[in-house]
Amino acid sequence: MDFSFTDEQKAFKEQVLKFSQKELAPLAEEADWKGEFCWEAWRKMGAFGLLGLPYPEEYGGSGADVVTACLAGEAVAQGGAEGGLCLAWGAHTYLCGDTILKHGDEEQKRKYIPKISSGEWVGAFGLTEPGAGSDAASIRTTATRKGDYYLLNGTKMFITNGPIADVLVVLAITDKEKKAAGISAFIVEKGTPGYSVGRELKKMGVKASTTGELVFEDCPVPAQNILRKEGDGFLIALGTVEWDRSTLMAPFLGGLGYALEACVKYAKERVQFGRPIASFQAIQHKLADIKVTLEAVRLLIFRVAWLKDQGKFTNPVEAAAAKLFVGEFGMKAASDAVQIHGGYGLMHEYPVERIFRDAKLGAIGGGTSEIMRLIIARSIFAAGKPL
Amino acid sequence: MDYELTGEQREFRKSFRAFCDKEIAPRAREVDAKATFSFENHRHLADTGFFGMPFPEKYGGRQGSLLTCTLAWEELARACASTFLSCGVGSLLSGMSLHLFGTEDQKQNYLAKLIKGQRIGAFALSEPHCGSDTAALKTAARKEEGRYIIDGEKAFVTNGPVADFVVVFAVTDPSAAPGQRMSAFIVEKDLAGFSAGPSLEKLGARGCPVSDLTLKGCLVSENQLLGAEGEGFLCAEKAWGFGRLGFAAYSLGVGQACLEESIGYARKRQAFGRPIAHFQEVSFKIADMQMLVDTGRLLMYRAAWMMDRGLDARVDVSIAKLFASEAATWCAGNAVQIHGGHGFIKGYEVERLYRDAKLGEIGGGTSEMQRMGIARSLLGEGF
Repeated sequence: MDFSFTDEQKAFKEQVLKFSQKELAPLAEEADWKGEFCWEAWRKMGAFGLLGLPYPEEYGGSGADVVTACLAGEAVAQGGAEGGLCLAWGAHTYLCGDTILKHGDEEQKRKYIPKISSGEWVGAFGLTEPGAGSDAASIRTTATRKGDYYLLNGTKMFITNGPIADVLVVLAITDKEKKAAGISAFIVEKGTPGYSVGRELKKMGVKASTTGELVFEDCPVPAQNILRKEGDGFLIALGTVEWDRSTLMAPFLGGLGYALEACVKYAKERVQFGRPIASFQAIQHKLADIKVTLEAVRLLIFRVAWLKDQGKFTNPVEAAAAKLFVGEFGMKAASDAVQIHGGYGLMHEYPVERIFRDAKLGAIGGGTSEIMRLIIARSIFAAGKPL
Repeated sequence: MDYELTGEQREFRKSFRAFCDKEIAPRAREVDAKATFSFENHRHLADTGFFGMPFPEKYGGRQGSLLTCTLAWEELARACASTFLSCGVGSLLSGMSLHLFGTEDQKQNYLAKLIKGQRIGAFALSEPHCGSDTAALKTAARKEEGRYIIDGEKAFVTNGPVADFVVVFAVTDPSAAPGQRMSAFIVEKDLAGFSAGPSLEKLGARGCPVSDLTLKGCLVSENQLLGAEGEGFLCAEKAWGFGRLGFAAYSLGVGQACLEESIGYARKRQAFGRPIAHFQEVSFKIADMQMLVDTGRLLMYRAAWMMDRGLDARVDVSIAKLFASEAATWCAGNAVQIHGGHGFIKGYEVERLYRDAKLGEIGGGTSEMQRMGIARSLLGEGF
């Protein structure tokens, strides 16, 4: 075993951290308050090269491995960037872009990846529907072949970046009889007739990411926009949601680091009963618990990242453990962080208030904690032995 | 970066697990019920070379990495927590003190014999009135005519009733700074004035004998001083660094056993016409157990890996120990819950595991002490 990062990785993380502190953190509070997508931050991330981080250089990316990509995710959040920005980044770069990169043909890759990489186009991934969340195989959106086109009909729900997306990967049924094996993935461009954003949804946390309901009404998608072939959609989606449970979790790690730093600073400065509250054990032990959670999350996330770098396409149990831990222990840590700040912790001007609201996503987005438990339990009882 | 064990390490774990399943686990219930040290387990472990795992070949050890040691520790604790406490943690504390601070003679005389299984060691730091607060120690060693006279009481000494020798900590210079007041001594069991109290009745880890020790005018020669005078605190701190890693393994072994027992029971036990594993209230608890044990293991491996590389791992060991021990008590509580009424009855493994788990949150520094240390590392001087 070897838990070390290379000097290059460490230096890169440091660079991203500084970038985030200087360029992204000052924009965070307002973006969160308004609940609006922050194009200024987005363009800065694009210019810095973060939006195309994992793509090969020939498609305009930086060719970073997954471990490095997770370090960047951690650093952006640790520097104080708003959680919604991190989420938008994840949905764009991994859920949409990386899915096209992994499963697209050469033409599709040439057409979309460079634009996603630069941030010129915003990407989104449309799987969830009003009636199909955890039970993703029960989606009802259909794609019916009509000559050189597929006609898409249906509604997608909670789609991150949906309202601003230029390109989307959309999952739809091409053969109802085959159930999960009858689901296919399509690339849909903004402006396609019959495609519209139903409404933009307002959220409790990660507010600066846009979330939408998307409507498809006889929306003609060129047949060459299918990813791989008919029926491969569900497998593609399984690989994609694993990003939700790894790379997209890295900002939660950074958020914990950011919150812990804020707590340490506050606890040392805040004086009650004649001494800094950091001298009280009740406060100290909460700080320790946040630190324990942070270190555990670090190991769980980088294990999945490392496994992905080893070429293991899906690592469902390790990813589920990471996601479950982040969801459950992350909420507790965020709650402790607010508690340490007392009344100030409830106030918008203190960043822990935002971290607390953002943390809940960890237990819901990309598969709820219950689904993570289901995945782990199934691996135990189906395989006949524990890991 | 590499998040996997080497093939050799996986192979070692597998064969050590097979050994534990064959030689140790079958006696676990009896060891607990009778609350006595199993000399048979001790002999089997000596035969496999267990005691020498982290120590140099020169003294009969295997010079293995700590990471590899944790694999064996966890397996032994999984098979019998009491035996691991005696033969794992107990031997590690005395053995490491000798390894790090002993003279060549002391190492040949005590460490080499400990490794061979010819002598059992103990480590006596806590006293009736002080545990974590080592600055309050009262046991004193006065120097007279080139010898030391030790007087005092020691409490909760693991292996106390069966030890052939004990590493005893005593104050040699009350006026020195707290970190330099005490020294470590090797005291043999038949020394005049030395006596071990009866084995204490305990909640869990009952098969590991623990007792108080009394030292009344014990005369020990300078040759029995372990390390230099005033180095006792340093010795205790270093030994406990390994001891805490051992306690992390203790808790992970117990947690893993709870997980496996729960899986087995949930498969077999039928309710409402189907195995209870089909109910989410059961299978999700088991999923949480696996997540907790798996996470604790990563924390322990990283702490061991850091120590192997000579990095300062004090905080990381505390984190691993704290997390693993609280994970184990959670697993044990829920393992009993999954077993329902059976879990409350003697004879079911989880009944014992539930009692064994608690020690992880206390031994080697309570969870509160670990949190204090971790918080200090975050806050810096002055808190």
